[in-house]
Amino acid sequence: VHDHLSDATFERFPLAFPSISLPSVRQARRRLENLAGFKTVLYDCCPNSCMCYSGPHNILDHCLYCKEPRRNEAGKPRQTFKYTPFIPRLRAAHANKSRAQLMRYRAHEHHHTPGRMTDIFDSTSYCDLLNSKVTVDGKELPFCFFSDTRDIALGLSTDRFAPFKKRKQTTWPIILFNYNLPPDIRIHSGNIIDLGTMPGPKKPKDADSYLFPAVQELMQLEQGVTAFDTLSESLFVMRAYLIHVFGDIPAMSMLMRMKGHNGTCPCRMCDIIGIRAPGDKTLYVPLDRRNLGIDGTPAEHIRYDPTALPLRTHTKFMQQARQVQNSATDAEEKRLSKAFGIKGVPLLSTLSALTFPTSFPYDFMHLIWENLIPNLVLLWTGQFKGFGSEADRQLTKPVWEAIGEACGSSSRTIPSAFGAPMHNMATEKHQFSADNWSFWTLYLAPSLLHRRFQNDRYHHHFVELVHLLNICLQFEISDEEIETVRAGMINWVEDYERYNFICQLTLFF
Amino acid sequence: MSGTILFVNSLYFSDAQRGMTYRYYYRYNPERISACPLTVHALLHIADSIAIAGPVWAYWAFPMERYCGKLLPAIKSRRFPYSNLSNRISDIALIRALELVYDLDLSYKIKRPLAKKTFSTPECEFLPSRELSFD
Repeated sequence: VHDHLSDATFERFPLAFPSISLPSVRQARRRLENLAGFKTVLYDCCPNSCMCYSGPHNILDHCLYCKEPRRNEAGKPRQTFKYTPFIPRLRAAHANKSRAQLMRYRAHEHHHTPGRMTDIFDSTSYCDLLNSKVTVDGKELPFCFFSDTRDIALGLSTDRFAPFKKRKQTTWPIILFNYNLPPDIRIHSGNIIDLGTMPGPKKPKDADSYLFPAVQELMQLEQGVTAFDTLSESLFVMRAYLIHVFGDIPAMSMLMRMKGHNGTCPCRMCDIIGIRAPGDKTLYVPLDRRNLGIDGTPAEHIRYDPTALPLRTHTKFMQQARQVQNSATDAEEKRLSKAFGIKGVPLLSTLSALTFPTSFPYDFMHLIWENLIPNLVLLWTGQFKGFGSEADRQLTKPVWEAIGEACGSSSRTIPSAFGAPMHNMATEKHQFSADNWSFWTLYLAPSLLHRRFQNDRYHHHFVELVHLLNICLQFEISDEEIETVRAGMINWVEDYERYNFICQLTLFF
Repeated sequence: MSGTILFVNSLYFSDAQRGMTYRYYYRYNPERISACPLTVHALLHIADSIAIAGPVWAYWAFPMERYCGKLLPAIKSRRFPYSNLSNRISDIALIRALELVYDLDLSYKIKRPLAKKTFSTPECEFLPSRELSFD
């Protein structure tokens, strides 16, 4: 497995080494399952990967979305989803001395100091959970979240992953992170709990049906399952709670059953309404839309106050979701889901430790390194869509090429410990990884871009952003720093709208 | 004569300035709205996210992307890429569980003794840093 040996090669081993008797692949897997003490579970799913026939869907014979039959003529399922249960693995972790010792990090090694943010256990959502009772199926259980020091905090993540270069087909692996482990080893590949992958070729229409077995296990874990604790050498009730779900914007919209970033109500954190330019189909979300010629919108939708955005709350989110789900007609459902940006009640809402939408924080990597910074570069170089004119260009072509050259040649003198080698920004931008973008923004760009803009204001504005990003990336963030980020981001976004969303003439200022 | 030119100049400038100020306050140009996607708006929620959910590194997608990158070589078949993937995922999961249950190290890493990087001259000998002690 380690060396990516194919099954066919494994089967040919006896030909090369006739003296040793090796089991067949099938036998080897069965033996593995016997030794590990659990089995992977196969669920049938739609060949177009719309949905999985799990739980309540098990009785169906045709896909609810594309009407494709579930089985082929021989009565075999046409596509399967392989799910690996994780309760046995958590049990095994508690039964393993060294691992159990490491998992004491959450309760014993991490010390919470009010006003200092060093790990998720300092966050307000976690601290609130500590004081609230677990509720399963509307019934309040007689214990609080994480009341036992051995309770496990979990995070779930999923992402689009294209198996082939064309990136037409996609598959969505689901993984869990064990937050009880110390942060330095939490994300090591050996400590990631993989559940399975929603097979392609398309994006699942009903991702909840794929999550069903996982949610079932998580609900079981909220109530508790028996396990053996090797440190105290006793049986105990093991509980685990899913506290974070994260991934890029499309992945989260899928799990939260939201319309997504192109919807009318695109933001998962607040109720801001998207708006389109005349003759354009895509919706955008500027704060200030006074000059967009929209009539009949309420006053608060014309200029949003960045300090008081209409935030979504858990109760309101769930109420809206139920309203959409219970709507009498299809037209009504369409209208409501468009207005709320929610398509229905998400399955994950059955888990009591999750709060919508705050347990689904925006992913920093996609947001900043793969979207914001590349977009800024496009804006500066006049390559942003619809911004082609010469006057828009803050960095002229020769300047930009010189910057790219400097950037590419810098990798020779930067120790590899700082990250992946840099490429030429001007010619090899497509090769930039998120890691590259981050290093470029934080360390190279502030000095490379100094005095390079037509108008120095853009440099100031950029350096301000870098300053805020640096605060966000600190290992320890104080409450005051969070406030700095809040105020700074508000200023930055307002300036951004003023600078980039303005008439070209301001470039003369 | 010069007076007239001055006059014309001042007229020209004040007009231009008026034009610019007008445009400066008329800041929000509908044609440039595409510069405001959701990702810029989302910046406003970062501070909240940090306060409510914890530091950004605890829930960013780097580990997820690396995980996907490690899965990629598992795809051997163009026809059944998904069974390749799910087989590999479950195999790995089983092996990791085995490691935990029986307290094994199945990484099969060949442990080589670290090469000693020393060089010596007739006058003095350099010890590798591990062998230095300061007590």
